[in-house]
Order: sequence, then structure tokens, then C-alpha cells
Amino acid sequence: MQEANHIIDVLTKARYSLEKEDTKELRNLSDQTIHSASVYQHTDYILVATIIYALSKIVERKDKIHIKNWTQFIRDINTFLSLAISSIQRGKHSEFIKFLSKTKRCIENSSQNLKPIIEELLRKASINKASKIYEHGISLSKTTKLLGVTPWELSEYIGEKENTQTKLNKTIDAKQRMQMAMEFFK
Amino acid sequence: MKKVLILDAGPIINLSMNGLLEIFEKISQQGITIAVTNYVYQEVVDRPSHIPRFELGALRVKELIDKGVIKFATDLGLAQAEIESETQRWLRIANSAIRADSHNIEIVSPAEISCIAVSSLLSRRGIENIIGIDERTTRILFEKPENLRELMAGKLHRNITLNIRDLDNTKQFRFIRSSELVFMAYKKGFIQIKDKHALEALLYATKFKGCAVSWEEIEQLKKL
Repeated sequence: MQEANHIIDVLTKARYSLEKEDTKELRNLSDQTIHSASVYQHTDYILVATIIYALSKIVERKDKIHIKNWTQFIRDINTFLSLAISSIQRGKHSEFIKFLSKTKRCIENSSQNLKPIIEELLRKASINKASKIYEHGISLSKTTKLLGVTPWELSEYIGEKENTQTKLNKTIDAKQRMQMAMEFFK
Repeated sequence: MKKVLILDAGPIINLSMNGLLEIFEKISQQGITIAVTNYVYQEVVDRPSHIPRFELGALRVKELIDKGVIKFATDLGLAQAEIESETQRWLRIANSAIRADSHNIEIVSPAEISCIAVSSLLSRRGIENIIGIDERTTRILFEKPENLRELMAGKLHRNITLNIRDLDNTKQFRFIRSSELVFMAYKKGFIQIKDKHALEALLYATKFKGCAVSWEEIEQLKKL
């Protein structure tokens, strides 16, 4: 129930942030969902994170993407998000998933002319969320399976983004590991 | 068969994207057997073969397998059923090692854990082996699980508990990354680039393609 309340809170705030075109808050809300997505690995949490992140990117690039009827697009998205919130409040999980999927389809069909750009944006949203889940300690292969991306694209992405400076990543001294390698390949 | 380098997908993808797959040919010529599991094959050949952006990389890896440079673990005298059973056993151990909110967090997948399984089976047969893996979760779990607990507690803002009862005999597993592979290749003269900056360039390249190596470690390696 605690997790359901968290999702309701995130989606409610996402509706408001979408109306206000607050991209920073949308990204922040997407990241908040990652905690639950990492622990429970439910596809719905992952879908929520991906959708909200994609919306932040669409709002950010609003002037370049030129969605024909922007006001109607936001209204449609917010209607589906409201229905998703209502479903989860009533404990109707399959309905919740249905409205999330409709939200995603609404994004995909927002501009027929720019469909490849929107699809690419959704793909990048999945890779971004995958990198966040990986940061949270889930293995690379496990993460790619949860998000439906390949290890090839995730490796490339985290190579650019990942902060490996944390001391916790270091388990053996670099010199010691190298000596072990050199000894093996002697 | 004296020694076996067991590869997870990471180092294969890394060296492929950096145009350094020849390192595997050189290693193989040294009499070291290189092996992958079916799970890893799916990640480095099967799936990317259908994605235009990665198709060439996948074909290059497939070529190495077709030439016998990289072998399947089943070519080493291990039965697929044995590998599968050992993978499932380690998967259960690894995926019940980290708990949050009274819930086991599934942290690893069969691909990474199949490398652990093959290493375990080879060690039982007295065959020296090492695992090449770039992603950090599996490595930290088996080398210093308390670090993974701390890392996840910090990221998830939750109390994380560690169940390492079945992980107490994991020091048998040895891990190297793409960074160690290119370092070794450079030192052994497998790399044709003779520029004085070649080593650092190789190490940076592995980092930028997903190898979990820090800048600090790279600086350390450059001085060795």
C-alpha cells in the first residue's frame, strides 16, 4: 500500500508539473520512482519512470517537436494519468497498467510526422532509466531485461554517464587485481 | 586445457565497440581457452544481430566463435544441464543476498551468474580459471558484499540487510575487467599502437564503453 501511495503521489505531481511545463520536477519525479522500480522490479513502476522521463523530454523540446495540438495532447495525457491514479486507488491493477499503456501510446502517436523522433525519445528514456536502476545496484544484464534494452546500448550509455568514483565500487586494490591478471596470462 | 578465461557480455561488447577484439585471438594463441555460456551468447550475438546499430559488432563476435577463438562452455566438457543447474543454484544464493522491506531484491540475471557457475564447475575439476566481467554488481557481491549493501542502502534510502550465509566461500572466484585485459594486452605487446599515450588511451576507452573502473584506478594502472 505504501508503494501504491507513492505512485499515486508521483503521478498526481506529474500531472501538475506537466501543466506547468516543469521539466526539472518531471525528471525528479521519474527518479523518485526508480527506488521502487529497483526493489520490486514491477514493470508498472518502470513504465511510470520511463513515461514521466519521456514527458520531461517532450516538454523540454516542445518548440522543436511541434506537436500539432499541444493543449489537447497535455489534456489527453493528463486524462489517462488521472484514470491510472483512480485505478490504483481502487486497487484495480490491470486497469492501472491499461491506462499507463494508453499514456505511452498517446506519446507515441503525438506526432505522425515525427514518429521516429518520438520513438527514439522513448528508447532513450528507457536507457536513461536503465542507467539509474544500474546505479542503484542492480546488475547490468538484469537491468537490460527489466527495461527491454540491450547490454550494448546500456554499456555505451553508462560509460559516458556512470559515476564510478564511489569508493564502494572498489573491492580489491587495482594493483593487486592487475597482478592477478598478469599472473593468469603469464 | 590449462587455463580458462570465462567471459561475461561486458568485456566482449567493450572490446568489440573499441575495435580490440584481436586481443581475444592473441590470448587464444597463448594457449588459454576463452569460453562463454549460452546466456552470454544471447546477449552478445543473438539479440544484437536483430538491431541494425549493433549488428556488425554481433557478427564480429560470432566470427570469433565460428573460428573457435571463443568457445562455448559446453565445449569444455561441461554438460548444459550441469551448467544450468549450477547457474540456478548460484542465482538463488545471489538473489536472496540483499533484502529491503522484507523483500529479496533480484540483483543479478542468469547471464552473469552462468559465468560464476562455469567457474565453480571448472574449479571443482581443478582447472584454473578467471572471470572477465565489466559490470560492478556481480563483482562487488562476490568480492565484498558489504560494499553492495552500503551502496544500495545509500541509493535506495532504505535499510538493507545482507544474507551472506551462502556467500562465505566465494573467494574462489577471481574477476578481471576490460581494463585489466587491455593492460595485459599492452604489456604483452598484443597492441600495435606504439605511441607513449597508448596505454592510457586504451584504459580510457574501456571506461567509456561501460567498464566499471574509476579514474583513480586508471591513474594507478598507468603507473604500473
